[in-house]
Amino acid sequence: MSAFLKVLEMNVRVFFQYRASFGISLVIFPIVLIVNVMLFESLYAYSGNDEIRGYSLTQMIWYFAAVPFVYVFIYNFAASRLSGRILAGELTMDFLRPLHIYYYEFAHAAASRIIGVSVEFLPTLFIYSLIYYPDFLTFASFFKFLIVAIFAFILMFQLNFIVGLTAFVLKENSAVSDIMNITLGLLGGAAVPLDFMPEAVQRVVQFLPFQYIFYEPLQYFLNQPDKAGVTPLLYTLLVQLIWIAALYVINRLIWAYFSKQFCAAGG
Amino acid sequence: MSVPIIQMHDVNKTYKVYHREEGFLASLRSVIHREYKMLTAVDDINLNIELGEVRGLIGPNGAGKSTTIKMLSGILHPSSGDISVMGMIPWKERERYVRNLGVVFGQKSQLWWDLPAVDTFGLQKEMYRIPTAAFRQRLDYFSRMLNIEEVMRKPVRLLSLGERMKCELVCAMLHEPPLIFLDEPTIGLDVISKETIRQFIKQVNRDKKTTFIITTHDLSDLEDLCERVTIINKGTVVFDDTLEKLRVYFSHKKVVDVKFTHPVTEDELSGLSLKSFNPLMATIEFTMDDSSTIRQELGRILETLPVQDINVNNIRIEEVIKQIYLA
Amino acid sequence: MRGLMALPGLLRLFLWNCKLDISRNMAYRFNFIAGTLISLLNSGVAPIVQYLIFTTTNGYPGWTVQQLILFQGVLLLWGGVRTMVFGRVLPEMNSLVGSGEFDRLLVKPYPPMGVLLASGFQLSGFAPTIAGVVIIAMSLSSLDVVWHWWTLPLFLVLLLVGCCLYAALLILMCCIILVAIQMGRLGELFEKLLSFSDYPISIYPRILGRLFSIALPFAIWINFPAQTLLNRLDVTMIWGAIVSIVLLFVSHGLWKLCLSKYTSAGG
Repeated sequence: MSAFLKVLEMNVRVFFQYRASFGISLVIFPIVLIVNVMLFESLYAYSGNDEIRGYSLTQMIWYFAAVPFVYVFIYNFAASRLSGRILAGELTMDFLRPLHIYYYEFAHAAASRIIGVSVEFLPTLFIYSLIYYPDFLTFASFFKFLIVAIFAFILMFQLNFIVGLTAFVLKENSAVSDIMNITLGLLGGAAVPLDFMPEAVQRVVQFLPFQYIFYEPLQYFLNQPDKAGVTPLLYTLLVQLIWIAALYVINRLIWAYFSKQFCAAGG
Repeated sequence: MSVPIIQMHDVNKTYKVYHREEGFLASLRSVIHREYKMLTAVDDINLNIELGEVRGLIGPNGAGKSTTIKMLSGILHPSSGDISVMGMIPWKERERYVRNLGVVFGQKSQLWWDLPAVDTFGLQKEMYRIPTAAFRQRLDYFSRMLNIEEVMRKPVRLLSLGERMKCELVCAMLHEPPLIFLDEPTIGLDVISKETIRQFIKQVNRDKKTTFIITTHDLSDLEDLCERVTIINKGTVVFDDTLEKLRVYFSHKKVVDVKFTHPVTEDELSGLSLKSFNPLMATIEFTMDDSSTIRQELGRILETLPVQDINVNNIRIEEVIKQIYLA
Repeated sequence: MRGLMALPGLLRLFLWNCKLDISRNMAYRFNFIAGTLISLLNSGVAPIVQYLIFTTTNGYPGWTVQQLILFQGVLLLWGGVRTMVFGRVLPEMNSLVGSGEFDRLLVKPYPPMGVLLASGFQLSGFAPTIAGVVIIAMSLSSLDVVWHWWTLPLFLVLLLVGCCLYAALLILMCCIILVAIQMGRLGELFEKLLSFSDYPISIYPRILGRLFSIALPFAIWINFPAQTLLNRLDVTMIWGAIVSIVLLFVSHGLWKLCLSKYTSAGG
């Protein structure tokens, strides 16, 4: 455990060295917000409705504006780091370290997100609020969002780890990454709220983990009425946990299998 | 007679080399069926290393050295045969086993690039669960011996190769493993750094009775550090004895460098074993055995050739090893 | 070889780069097919999202569903064309400057910017281009639009002028990379800024609408060509086209300035 924390701490300090590149987000993100404000104001005005598919104008704008926020909470390089080492045959150090590669990579990912959330999310949220105030936000909903987002990060890490492991089988696994991103966009709520998807798609999506990475955290962020109280939160966390546990087991099994192969085949 | 710390008995390693195909669909297809051929990396190796030895392990590239080291590290398991290191079977109990192992790979680094080495040392402390007092004491001991007190507080990316190697060594030794593998530890280093590191290894070996296995292409490493040397070629052990014996093996071979007063033709040097020749200089090799003495051989050269200058040397150890590699 | 005299040579260079990229892609045939499908999916996400949102509301002022589909077709087409023609320019510039090999461009017998722009071909833009053409054709057949003799030529001219504007912006980005040695996340910023053009300009408030039609004529990429196909010409298009070409000369001038600073400083 303390080794894990130490890796975490060291990663934080490494990322601190590259702090210059974080300032850019403060410029990029508001542009996204402004485009969305104009788009939806015009859309809502033209449609004559206060609500579209359960989203008020403010909520709609903020849904799209907050997608990058969720990205800040979840994205990590585990897939490319793993693939890179697997394809180069450079797993020696990973085998000689008395800390399982899974936890090592998790510490890496967690550290990069801690920095990201502190440096990108909070300041940008503040700036956004000055441009277009999020009238739906309360302390409770924000807090709930944070918990769900953290679980979303862990879930995303599992998925990324699996994608990284595909390098054992595929030489060019950037395609897998791309497919993952598109899936998250369309089936996870990153590109468009799932409420806009056809009925059939919405039903299928219930059985997939993707909506728990973008769509669900965003519902809590927007303080939607069906997320009021504690019960919905517990339900969401439970489902996230189930997915996390299932994928964790799959990850460990796949790794165990392929690392044995790796060790048998000459490394 | 104590039990050797490393025992390899009739160890074989053959593995399948898969034909890796290009293309996405081909890669998918390969999940179901792959073509392969068998490759023998290590062929019936027997090797014993005693506690506290500094053993040199050399051999040409592709000879099976790194395969052997990987099997001893637990990263690879043999196709057949037994390996026992410190009473454990490396690949069977890898996670417990590696806690007693220290490794320095010349080209791979354990140190985190952007942070000072002392931070990676701190990580080692946590990972190997080194008690704080012991950690401080060992860090003191090592940093003074290698003179890296200031160096270890600078980010690793700012260090020279020599400074980095010293930090890598400390990294591998902080948990005081009884066994350390050094793979090309002095590669690319200047003469002084090489000297410092060799002194360090010898000192640690004396003080802590640590067993070292050193793979190297640098034969002066070998001469300075190792009492015994194992030469692996084409997957088998071709020499496993003291360095002295290796020298003696070939000490009856002499190499004579001759300079001539005026150009000579190759005919005039017929009958002599020439290593190199141009009309003004030649390098001649001869073997002393029962039928000839140094007086006879040199006498022949001095009498029959217009010698301006002459140098007589033992065959260099590089030559010895080269001849073993080529055998 | 300077100025316009260099044009034929640069065109030949461009074609040669095309052949190179195509054969490079063909060497990994199956990757190519997978990659094509993925680039299609990728570029398809935005149009799908817009369609979904559009159809659950009253849509954008001045555009019916069918017309929006046409708009999406042009969006795909433009995205594909600009990837095909210029896709590699920024990554190439970034890597040349980053690895210190930019000077390579300076010893070629052509203007460096010309060489750089001619090396931008990326085959992955082909699929979205074709998809765009198909969608345009389909929606035109279901719309009742009168086809004039000038419709297609004007459409192509606007596409060409759009390329000029895009080139102008790329040149500006290259100036920044040359001066700052690296791009960092500026590429992301660039993409986000350009995303203003992904929607009909009628959604923007009047002032911005004028901006995007004339001063910073993003509308020339998608909006104007779409209008042309729908017979909705207006005079601002001419202004937009003129400004685009002017901007090309301006940024080229800026580039020459940056370049002379670079070479005088020893590179």
